[in-house]
Amino acid sequence: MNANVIAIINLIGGLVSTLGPITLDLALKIKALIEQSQLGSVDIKSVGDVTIAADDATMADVNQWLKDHGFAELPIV
Amino acid sequence: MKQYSLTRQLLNLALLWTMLGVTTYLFVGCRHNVNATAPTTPYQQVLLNNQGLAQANQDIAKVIEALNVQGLISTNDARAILTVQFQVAAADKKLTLILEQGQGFASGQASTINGLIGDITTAINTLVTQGLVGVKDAEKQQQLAADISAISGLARLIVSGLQTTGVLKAQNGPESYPQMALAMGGVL
Repeated sequence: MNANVIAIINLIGGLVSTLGPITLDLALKIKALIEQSQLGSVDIKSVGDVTIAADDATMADVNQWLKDHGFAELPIV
Repeated sequence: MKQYSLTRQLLNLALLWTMLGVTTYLFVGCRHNVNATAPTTPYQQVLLNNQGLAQANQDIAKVIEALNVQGLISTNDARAILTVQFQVAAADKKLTLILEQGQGFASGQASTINGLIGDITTAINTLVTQGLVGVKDAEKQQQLAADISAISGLARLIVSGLQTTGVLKAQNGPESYPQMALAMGGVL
């Protein structure tokens, strides 16, 4: 088993045991990443694109929130 | 209050089910696939860990917005945290644009990668030391701390993975990131 997978499992286990339930959505996403990793179906470009989509969504979401609350939006560079 | 407890119980059950599923998959499913597929390379693992970091960061931003709606965090405190989430996302996007070009390309961008990872760890450290103070509900604060610790753990795996693949040299690793060490020590 890959050492990184073990590290992630240990990380999740540690969080659950010491800090109680973590965000279910996050746990499910990490599970999906582990499955993807174990299946050996990793395409670097597609994983990168999914990551960039998440980052773009975060920045857009934050800027929308700032705008809704009367703050200046942050520059996307 | 009763509804919250029920939701909490359902979340606990779902989480336990998920963990059981992960465990079952690792001990049963992986054995089935050992000879059927190629193992994931360390560089691919870096990209997967990076994806997890981006998605966890996105989740935290959503939680902060929800807490603000519920009145559990002031608008000014939420703004400060969300600004950090934005900074993490911006740096991570730049990092990803390099990493997805492949290991060879990334190896030639070590200096830039170091700077971007430094930006991410500095932002995470800001959250750990200052960002969660404004969360009024102790339980929510603890859950957020857990999510942030997940990001810290993934950032650490990204650095070690890049060192394993030779993209970053060992002397540019975690030892050179006192802020990351502080963040890890502060949460984990």
